[in-house]
Amino acid sequence: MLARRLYTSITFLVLLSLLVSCAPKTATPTEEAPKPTEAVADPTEEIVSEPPTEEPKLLRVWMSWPESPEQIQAFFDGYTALTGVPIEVNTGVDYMKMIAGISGAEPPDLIVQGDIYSVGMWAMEGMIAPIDDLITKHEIDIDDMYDPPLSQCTYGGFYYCLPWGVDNYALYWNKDMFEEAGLDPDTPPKTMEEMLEFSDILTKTDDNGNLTQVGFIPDFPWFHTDLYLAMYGSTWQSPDGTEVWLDTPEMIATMRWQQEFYTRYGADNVGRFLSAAGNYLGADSGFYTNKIAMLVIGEWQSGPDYLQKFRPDMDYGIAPMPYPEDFPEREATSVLWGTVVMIPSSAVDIDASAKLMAWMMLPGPQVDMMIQLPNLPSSRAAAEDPRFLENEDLALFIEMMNNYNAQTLYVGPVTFDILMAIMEIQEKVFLGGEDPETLLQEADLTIQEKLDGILGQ
Amino acid sequence: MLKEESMGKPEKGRLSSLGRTRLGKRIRRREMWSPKTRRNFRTGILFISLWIIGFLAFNLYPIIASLYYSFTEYHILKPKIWVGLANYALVFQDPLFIKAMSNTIYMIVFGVSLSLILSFSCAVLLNLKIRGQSIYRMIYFLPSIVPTVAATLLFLWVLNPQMGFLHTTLGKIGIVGPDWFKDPVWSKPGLIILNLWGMGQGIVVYLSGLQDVPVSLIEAAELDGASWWQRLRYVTIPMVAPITVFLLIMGVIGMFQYFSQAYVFAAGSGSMGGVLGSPLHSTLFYSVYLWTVGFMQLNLGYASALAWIMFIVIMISTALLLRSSKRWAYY
Repeated sequence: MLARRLYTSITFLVLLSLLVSCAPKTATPTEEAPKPTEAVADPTEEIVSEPPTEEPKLLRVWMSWPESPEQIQAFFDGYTALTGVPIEVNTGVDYMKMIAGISGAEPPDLIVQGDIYSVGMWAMEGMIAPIDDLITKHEIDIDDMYDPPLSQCTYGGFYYCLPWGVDNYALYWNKDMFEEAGLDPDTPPKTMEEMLEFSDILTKTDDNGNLTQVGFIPDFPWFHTDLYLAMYGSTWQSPDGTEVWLDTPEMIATMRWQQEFYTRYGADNVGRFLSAAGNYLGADSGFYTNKIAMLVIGEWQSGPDYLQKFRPDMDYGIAPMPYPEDFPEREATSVLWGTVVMIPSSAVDIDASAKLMAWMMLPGPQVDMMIQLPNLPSSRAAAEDPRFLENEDLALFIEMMNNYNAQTLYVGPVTFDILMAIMEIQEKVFLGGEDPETLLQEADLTIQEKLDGILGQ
Repeated sequence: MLKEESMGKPEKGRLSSLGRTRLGKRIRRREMWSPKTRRNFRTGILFISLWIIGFLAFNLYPIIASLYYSFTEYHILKPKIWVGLANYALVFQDPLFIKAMSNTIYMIVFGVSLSLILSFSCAVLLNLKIRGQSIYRMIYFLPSIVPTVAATLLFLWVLNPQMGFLHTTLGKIGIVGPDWFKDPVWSKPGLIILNLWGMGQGIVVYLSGLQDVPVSLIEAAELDGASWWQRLRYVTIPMVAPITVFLLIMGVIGMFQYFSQAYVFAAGSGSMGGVLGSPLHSTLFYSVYLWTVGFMQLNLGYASALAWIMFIVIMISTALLLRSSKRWAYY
């Protein structure tokens, strides 16, 4: 009798504790939810009014970068040496794990995300904390930061992240392949029209008509429609984030220019070539194996994990992305993206996370970290460090960052939808040979409808 | 003992009315248990309590929660908003849902049926009493133990349209192989080839079934003058029909859960590899779409509805297959 009750009680207690530990810490499902726009109204109230909790013994930093975990841990050990707060770094954390971690019982204290696209969506979902008051409290000098990457961190008028490593894109070219094709190895194309001409010269086929070498593929290793769109003088959303601008003449022109690289050599042929163009992160990448002569890629490419590792012997050049012939004033236009630092709204001690974030934003630590990777700093003061300027490649990217044409594209709750739509349209246009205009109009309508719903219009 | 403990003083009328019910039957059955049986029962329950806890926490709770979420606009850290059947109604306006469903049905119709036919054919051949039989069996079974991701990566090379093994082999006999990764017509057949390579488990199951076919039936057919084909058609195939039913149902369920291969295939196939379902949504299978909606778009309410629709479709198709199997399978 007693034993039976004991069995039952133990089983019940274990079950109950398990279910309680599995339950989310958020409000109960039956509670009336605020409209998304209401949540945006003043999200700082809830976060800042929380009483400060005791200093955590350990801060956990999750990063999406897969590279150099030891190097990154060593960087954060610098903070430990300064403050005594141990830091545990987890690198290569994928998107899914980030979401699960933020909503879980033991969230990370700081998230370092290699792309900016998730910021708007996560902010809308309340997954990351607004940090305006924390910026003031910890005296983070946002005036020292480059405006384009900083502007990507706002949603609903509040800051939700801070840019750390900035990515800037330029044209890399293989000088040996230029020379072999009879081109001047030190003169890259200046205009987007010239890029087509250069590509024709650099492209080779075998006896069966299969491509064996290509001058340029606009979406290898991934899509750069954002940059090409900036070259054509537009963007994908209005600066205030209320309108989707996918069906503009500039966007259509951007798509047609890229499509030309497929139609000239045959979409099927380019498709086959791309299937064999290798993995971007591996030694078999088309650019490293002398199969692709020109590549649009970021500043990290000349660093230890890429060209230095896979093709240390390559004689390459870097130049700003060519501009449209009719718009020479757009020379050296660049679109700045990059790595951002966010604090999960579920973090145990948001203030401690903010302290660490403030340290990461200081010019000194930024230079130490970014020069090794290499990435570009978000701090203007850090960008003036001689270590950046002594490196010829990085100096060019910093010069582009300082150019008045440096810009970024609006990032908000539908940015991810825009990206997905563009990638799907690119497939249809590049490989399927479809005309982009109708596809872009349809996508514009669909995403605008969703955006209107989110904004409560 | 149990009666007194659990029900207090028994009343005649109450017991007789309980006796007619299920509960009453269960109580009467428990009354008949000896103290030892009861003790064993409790110990048994205690032994499997870890599994029960695991099942309740990690299976039943998520299942019930996902049903609830399917009726809500789900936000990860904010309260959910009850939207009734809106998520279910959304599928009728969602062209990608139709696309994902049709891609999955394609894989079921062609992938599963081809796999059944080839598994059976290989099993018949491997059942022949020939020298080195066990080596042949091992060779056919080995691919099925290769991890899914590794096998898919391997096939990215095999199917490579410029230097892949299949491409160069076809090229030697004058056939220009298709672009399995970029041509929407050939992407699903590419994945079917990958599946067929790993059909070893189906072969093993069929082999066990073939060894259970009574020799007397085959001999009787032989005596009646049946040819090899007639013996296969009228004796062997009907006798292994229950195995075909089992493999068919598992194949249908497997295709609705088809994810890893399509994910790796899209991710590893060139510059547009970031687009799940590439090329042109031709590899957007049901689970891939569900995952995209849930974890890329964070639309977890709709994703839960998609999961429940998948569950219902699987239930219905399994029921239909089982019912129809009564006409062609002999148990």
